Amino acid sequence: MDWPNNDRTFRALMPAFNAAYPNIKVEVQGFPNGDSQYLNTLQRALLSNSGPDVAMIEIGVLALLRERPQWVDSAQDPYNADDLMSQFAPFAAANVTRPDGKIVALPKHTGPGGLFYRRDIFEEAGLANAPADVEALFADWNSFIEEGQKVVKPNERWLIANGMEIVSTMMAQRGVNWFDAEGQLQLDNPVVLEALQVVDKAADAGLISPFAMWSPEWQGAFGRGQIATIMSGNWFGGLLKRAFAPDDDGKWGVAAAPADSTGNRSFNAGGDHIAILETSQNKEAARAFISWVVTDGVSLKQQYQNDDLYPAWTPAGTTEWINFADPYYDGQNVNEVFARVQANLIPATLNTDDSVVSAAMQTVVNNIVQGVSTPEQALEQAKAEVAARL
Amino acid sequence: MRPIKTALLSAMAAPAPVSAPMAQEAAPYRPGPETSGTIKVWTGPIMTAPSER
Repeated sequence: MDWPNNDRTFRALMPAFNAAYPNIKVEVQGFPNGDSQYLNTLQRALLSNSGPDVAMIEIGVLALLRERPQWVDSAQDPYNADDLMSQFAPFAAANVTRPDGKIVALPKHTGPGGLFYRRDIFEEAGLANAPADVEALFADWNSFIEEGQKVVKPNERWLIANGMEIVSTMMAQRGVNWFDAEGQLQLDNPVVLEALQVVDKAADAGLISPFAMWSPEWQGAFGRGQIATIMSGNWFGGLLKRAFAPDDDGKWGVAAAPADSTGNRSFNAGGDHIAILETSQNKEAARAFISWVVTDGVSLKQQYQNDDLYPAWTPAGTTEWINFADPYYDGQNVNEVFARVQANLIPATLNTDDSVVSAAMQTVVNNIVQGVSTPEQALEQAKAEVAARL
Repeated sequence: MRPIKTALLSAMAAPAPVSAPMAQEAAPYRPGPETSGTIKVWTGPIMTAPSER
């Protein structure tokens, strides 16, 4: 897997970082997520006091890693990062702050989500294709299914790539996560079954591709024009531009996702954070690095322009480099969507066992799409799988 | 998958811009430019791809 490639992102930042800090040498080592390699390697290092000075923490493992005692508390002198937290996206700041006030990491990037859509396919299907018109067209999930059918070509082109997009988006819009703040599993929350029923309707209407998420077929489908929309974090634009559909300049647009019953269209998908280990023998240099990476304008601009990484640092939201007419999106300033989403989204509750539930749900959502299970059966299957694993 | 080569290579080849904190209400604690040393940074991919687990 070549992307997302945080190690290359860091290495590309070195000339600018060393212009600010010429006497700090940064040795970057990247690990893949396959078989939880990064998480396992980092956890072993934490336990044996043999880790790096600085470690990146992706949002999917933050709940697990923030409980470890080996992180430097950035709320303490001389860092006093609690004064800074109001300038990070509130949900990201909350995620790195433990109930006792310890700040285990600094938020690096967030994943405000939107509906990426193919302008040319919408036009060909007779649908409006300006962002505001797409949002009006997809006023709710029913209209998403009704109007979205027009872009489908059976066995050739689909409205969305994967049913899990619907589940993740609908749950986030309603502020429902796999677990609540008390750690109670939320699969009995009515929103989950409601989302599975929307998946079922979409599958019946032929809207969902048969491709498994992250499979080579799924990746290639974007460049082949087989997928008309995808609901994902802003970072997905980086994949489209540089990996999946680099020749599609001007063909894509971004709108907010279909609205839920409360009118909310906002959701977050993804994000990362950066932390210092207590065992670091050079905390000043480590602090210089992480502070520069997450708050410096040169750093954030480069990461946004090269990798579509959305800053958690909110002062960046008003800069000219994030608010510009992007030719990949036919001149659209997509931050008009993502800034609105970031401001309005309901903070997610993270849990150490999120990945267990997510994996079980992915399986049963595919069962619905393949016509193997009803939504009710799928939900029971997911609950049984989760119960067996927790 | 195709890696992002062009953008990163061009970024790496470009002259290093002058670094400056952004306009902000509170200045982040930032050690001075004379700070020195070698640090190790570990990182994984930004987004966890389920198929990679």
